[in-house]
Amino acid sequence: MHVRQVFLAIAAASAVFYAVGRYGPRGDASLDAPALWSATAADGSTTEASAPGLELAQAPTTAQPAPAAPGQSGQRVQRPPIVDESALRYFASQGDTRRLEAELARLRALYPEWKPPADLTSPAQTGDAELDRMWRLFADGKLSELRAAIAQRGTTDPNWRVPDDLIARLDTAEAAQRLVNASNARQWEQVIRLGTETPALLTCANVDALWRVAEAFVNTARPERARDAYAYVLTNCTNPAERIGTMQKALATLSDALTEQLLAQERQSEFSSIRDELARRRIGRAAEDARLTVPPDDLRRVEALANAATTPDDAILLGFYALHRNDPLKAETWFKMALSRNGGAKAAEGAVLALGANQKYQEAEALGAQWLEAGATNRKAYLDVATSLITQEPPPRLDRAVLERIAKTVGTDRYAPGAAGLGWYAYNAGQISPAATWFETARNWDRGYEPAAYGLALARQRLRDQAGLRAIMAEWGGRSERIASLLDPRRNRAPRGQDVSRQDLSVQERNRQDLAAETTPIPDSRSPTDAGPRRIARTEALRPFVEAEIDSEPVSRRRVRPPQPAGGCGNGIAGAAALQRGWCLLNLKRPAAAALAFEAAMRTGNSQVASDAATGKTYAKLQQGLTAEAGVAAASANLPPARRRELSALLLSERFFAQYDAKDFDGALVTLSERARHAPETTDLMLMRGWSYFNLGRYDDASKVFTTLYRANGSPQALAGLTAIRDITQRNRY
Amino acid sequence: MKKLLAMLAAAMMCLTSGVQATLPDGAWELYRQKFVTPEGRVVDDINGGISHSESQGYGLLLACLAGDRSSFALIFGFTRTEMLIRDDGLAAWRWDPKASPHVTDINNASDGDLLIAQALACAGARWNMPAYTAAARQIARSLAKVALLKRGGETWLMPGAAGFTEKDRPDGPVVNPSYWIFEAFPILTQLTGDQSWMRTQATGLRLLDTFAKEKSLAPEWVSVKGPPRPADGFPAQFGYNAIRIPLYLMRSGLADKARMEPFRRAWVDGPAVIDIKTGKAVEPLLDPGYRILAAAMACTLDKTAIPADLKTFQPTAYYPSTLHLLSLSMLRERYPQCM
Repeated sequence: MHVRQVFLAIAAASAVFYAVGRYGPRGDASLDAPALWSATAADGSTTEASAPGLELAQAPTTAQPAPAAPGQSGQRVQRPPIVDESALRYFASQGDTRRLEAELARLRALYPEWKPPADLTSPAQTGDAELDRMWRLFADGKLSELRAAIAQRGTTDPNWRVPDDLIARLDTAEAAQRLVNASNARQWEQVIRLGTETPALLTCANVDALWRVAEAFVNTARPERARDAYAYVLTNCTNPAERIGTMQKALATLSDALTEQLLAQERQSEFSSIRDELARRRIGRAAEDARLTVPPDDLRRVEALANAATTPDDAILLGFYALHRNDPLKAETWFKMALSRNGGAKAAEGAVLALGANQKYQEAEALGAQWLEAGATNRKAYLDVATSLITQEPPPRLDRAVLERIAKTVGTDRYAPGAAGLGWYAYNAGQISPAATWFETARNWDRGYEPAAYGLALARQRLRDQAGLRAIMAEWGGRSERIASLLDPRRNRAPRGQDVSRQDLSVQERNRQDLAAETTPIPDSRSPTDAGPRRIARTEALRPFVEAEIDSEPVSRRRVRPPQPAGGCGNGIAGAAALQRGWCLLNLKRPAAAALAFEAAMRTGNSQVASDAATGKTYAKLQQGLTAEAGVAAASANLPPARRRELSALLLSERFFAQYDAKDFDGALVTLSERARHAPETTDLMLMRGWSYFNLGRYDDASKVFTTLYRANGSPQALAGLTAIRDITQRNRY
Repeated sequence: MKKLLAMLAAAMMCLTSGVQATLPDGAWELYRQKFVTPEGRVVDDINGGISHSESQGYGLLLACLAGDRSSFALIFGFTRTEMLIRDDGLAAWRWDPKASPHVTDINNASDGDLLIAQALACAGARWNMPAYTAAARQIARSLAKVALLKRGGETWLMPGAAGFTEKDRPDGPVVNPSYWIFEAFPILTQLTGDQSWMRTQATGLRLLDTFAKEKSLAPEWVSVKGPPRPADGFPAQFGYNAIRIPLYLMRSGLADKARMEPFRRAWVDGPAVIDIKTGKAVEPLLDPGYRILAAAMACTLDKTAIPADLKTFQPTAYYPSTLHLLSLSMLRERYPQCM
């Protein structure tokens, strides 16, 4: 009801604008709008049922009704006008030609038969110094002070009446300020109310007010009324800057259709820049949404603009359009043009993506590397093409510097597909241990990223890390067919390195056979002579040394255990160099040599180095399967408490997995509880706790653990546990 | 009904005609010079020099009480163009000279709106200005629409249009007893014919009487979700807001002895911010504008004479000076024997 009335009132007011033009043929025409407004609002259903004219006038009731009252209009047209020239004279006396001209135009429009006085500079006929002061206050914008002066004079001189012209202008000026304030405060209904109540405000003399009213219509979902307000400007106002500004505002807020309607009011191609902008907008939208089509004229227009320009923006726009319309070759051309015009980060991002789409990965990577600091989208584009680069088969020969910057960027952004990509690069180069580390890193960054889990499973299989493999099975066996098939002898086949894509991920119901295979501990395939490392239970953040460990040399043949020259880890025999060498050797899975290097570092380094080296030695002993020695190494070192807790937790994790492998589930649970005193239980250990309970037949306890995990992070592997429990218990029932 | 209207008319008369001499000579002029800018802004000087709908409302009310028609027009000119800009026609509560745009929070404050409406009604009647009366009526209607909450037989005055209801806060509705400007309710009822303003007054009085019965002071912010209790997240204090409660009661002739007892007792040793739980003074209130509140209570309830230095006015800071003038005007009008 309320909205409809405002709507009607505005429609009526707009009609008045169109009918009377700038000032209107009848002097009082502009007063019709408030009359309409009061009529439509008179039933009091509006929140602010104010009475225009009355609300603003300062005159006491005993005075005559203000001439602004609608009822007076008929009379005034018939009798010769009494023109209030005081404003005119005041502006003339002040030398304020701009206001003088405006006032002359206003009075001429109001009173067509009126002739301006010949001598404007003579003092106003009244010679009223106080009125003169009031006009000065008005001209200075001191509106409240003017109100005060009018009230003051009403007090001291009860017979004095404020000139109609002054009060009308004061009302309008106050309404203008109030409208700006309401508009700044986003009080759109108030803006519309003020505009409707004060049509004198909505003229070419105050296009800003018209714009603000239009903005209010846009923000109250009445775009057609906004169009009307803009159309009023285009019909009536001549200032070129304001006309183009009006179209810019329309372009920014209205639909293409409404904007096109306004373009019809163009005079002498003044809006060609607006037409350019419309074409750009359509192309930009079509670049985002393939369902949209772009008129060929638009493309021709913008292509011509791009070719003629020395600026990069149109080329970038066309580049993205081409890129998203499967024309990467054209896109590459546009982006390179944009880059040559200093197109900056956006051009570089597009060029990287286009080069990638054209499979020019090395060029893309090299370009993207220069723009890594430019922003998130540049980094994302870089990471995409870099990942594509390193997961090619056969692996390309890459400079160490290239690999290092890829690894650095992947590490900074914790980009799981990139880390998995580095895993495949290492894997395909036959470097299984670094590959496993990268896969594990990827998995830590994105627990739900199946390719990382798959890569890690392959690597652990190659490293004969059965416990580690089983952990992945428990987590993924029910969701990834290819991971499940790794332990299925019927489907076991040589893994290929390039299985990086996410689409291989499939969720499938685990059948009972799989379930049985996974919930029963996998037979330990290790022989006593197999001195190889079992597992490093490190789910903590990756150490920085890992990223430097990617061998830059791709290998042409697969090596099961490539002999690594010790020189690859440097020759450091003391201090920090020995420590560095220890980590390097450890990462090459040469734990015995690593342990010696760490021992050297412990003897010769400063306390920080010694402490780090003790940690390294613990890891080395663990890699050798020498849990007890690892414990000794940890205990003998003078370690900071936090590091000691970390190592204790690590050692207990090792003991847990050993016990679990040996089916000592009770002992394993005791170990877990002991570990919990040193470090919070990680998600994967909690999961293993659940399986320990499961294997002990303690289904209620297992169920609690799996339920907790599932509630905490919606973990699918926990769900797999719950399914297993349900299957088992139901099977028992039938 | 007729009787009620006659009573209201009498209240209006009392407000509009008996005020000619209620402010000491020159007091308003001193206040105006210190706190009202040439643009018509009433400045809260020790609060960052900002203005708010409350300061504008007090300025308007004092200008009307002082019979200063010119200053009233000045202050209302500013209030109207700068603050009465909300969609619902109420005032944005905060205006900051250092911010652009100056209105930094478009929310309203109901006591500010009440004060502005009351002052406009005063001015409309006093100077026969129907435009002011119409503006007062419009604010009263809008405020009734957005800030009166009927709930369980009570009519609560919400502190603002937004932010204090059951939906907004776990302990909502939350009210501020010092927002009940009791003298305004009969005026707004008379303006609009809307009896919910008198029900709002009755609810406010019941709330105060509940605390009085428990021999407790009213906290500044009260949760009325269940039995009234201090609202969460606010200090449970009888503080700078709440000290106006006894003044408003005295100004409106509703200062029953029992109702006033907690306030009188709390300030036996002089005015202070009081911790509601312990009843202990947290911070003494030394400004004459605060001390006269205690002195006025002592005089009206116990006939203790008001110290001579408090009977004259020297402006200090905006808030206590405002309270000082409102107290002096109240004493001269209702308790001439105290002066």
